[in-house]
Amino acid sequence: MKLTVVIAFLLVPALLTAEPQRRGGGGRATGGAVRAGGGAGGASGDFSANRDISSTSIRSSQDVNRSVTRNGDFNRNVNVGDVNRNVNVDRDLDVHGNFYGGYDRWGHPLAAGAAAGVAAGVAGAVTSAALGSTVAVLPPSCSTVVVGGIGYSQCGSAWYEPYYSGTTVQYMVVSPPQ
Amino acid sequence: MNRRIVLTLSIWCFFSVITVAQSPQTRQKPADKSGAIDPQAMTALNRMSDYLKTLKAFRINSEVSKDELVDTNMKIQKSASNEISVQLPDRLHAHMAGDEHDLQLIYDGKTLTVYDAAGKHYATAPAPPTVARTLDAIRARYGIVFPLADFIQMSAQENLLQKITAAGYIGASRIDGVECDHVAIRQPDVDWQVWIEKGETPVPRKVVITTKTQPTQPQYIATLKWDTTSSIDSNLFTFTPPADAVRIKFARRAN
Repeated sequence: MKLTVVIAFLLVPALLTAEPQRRGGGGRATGGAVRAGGGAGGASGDFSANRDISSTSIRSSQDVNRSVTRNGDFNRNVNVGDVNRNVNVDRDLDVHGNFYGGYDRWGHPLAAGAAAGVAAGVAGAVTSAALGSTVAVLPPSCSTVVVGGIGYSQCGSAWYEPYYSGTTVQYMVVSPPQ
Repeated sequence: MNRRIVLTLSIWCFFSVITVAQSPQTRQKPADKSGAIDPQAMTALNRMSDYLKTLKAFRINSEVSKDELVDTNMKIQKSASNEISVQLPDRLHAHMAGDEHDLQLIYDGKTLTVYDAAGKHYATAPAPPTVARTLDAIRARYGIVFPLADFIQMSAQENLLQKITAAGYIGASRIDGVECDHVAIRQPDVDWQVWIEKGETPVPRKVVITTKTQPTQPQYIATLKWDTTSSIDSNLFTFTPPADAVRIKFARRAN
């Protein structure tokens, strides 16, 4: 019996600490420029990290995926209007592990952005953010450079590739584009 | 020995408290689970669905409120005005203006473009040849749910009424002063309500979608104003990037 109690006591704090981690960093992802604070006039502080939102459709994602698969439309990615110089323009960006939720986000940073922000914050200062990590807001003083038809943001020595995650622009840390 | 009895008793007490606490819910279940599909509700829904299928080109002006959750489960309501233009079988345009965003979605029969007028970013991707398939493809590939996609799908001949597990006719109502039939529908993941105009043009004038898969059951609420007669400027469906706009890519959802 004693053992059960001990196990229960051990379990409770474990569950409590697991919760915020599962939430993709929650409101803790608020350090410096990687704060998931939204674009113009975004919310701040603890109101910054959005998680789940209402569905805007009566259909489930599974139903939509099924019909897309049936029509052979999921993997269709013809490169329309490619010219030699920028063959990659019409190709989608592969974002590993950062795409989160299936909903249209109305210009709000995704929870995944916050999670990646935590990862970047842990790795070190913003200036040495890990390649492939994603931020919702760029650090100050960036300039736009177009390489191969695609716009990049150069912020000091760091380069970011903006991309649409749903309808929200996110910025991925990349190597200087060639 | 004594301890054992106390333990057994306390466990028994614990479970009986749980049982008592749960019993009102159990009693409510039959009413809740009425499973019935009210024929009057289905008549109204089918009238709407059949009418939408007759449309070839239309515009919807929609005012939207949508719940979002911020930290510590606080529900925030976001607002937007959406202007949607549809020309079947292969043209779409939406202008979505609201909190922190000013977006356009444009489909010209071959490509889909997302343009953010505030950040001056746009992305273009090849799209399937019809509105119906494009609406599904952009949602599956990119997680983009086109505003009021369900009603556009209905007009594009899709039957979206087959997932209904229960439907009830709530009664007569008025939206924007117009008489409507108020219908409530249950599906596995969402409950939804729709207010369908009475008379010759049974368009949906309001819709509420409640997401049951989220613990806080957030809601999406839209009121709709329909224009099924004015002609639509075809330039609307073609995107010409402004000189200072920057092209970027879409992130594809892993499948």
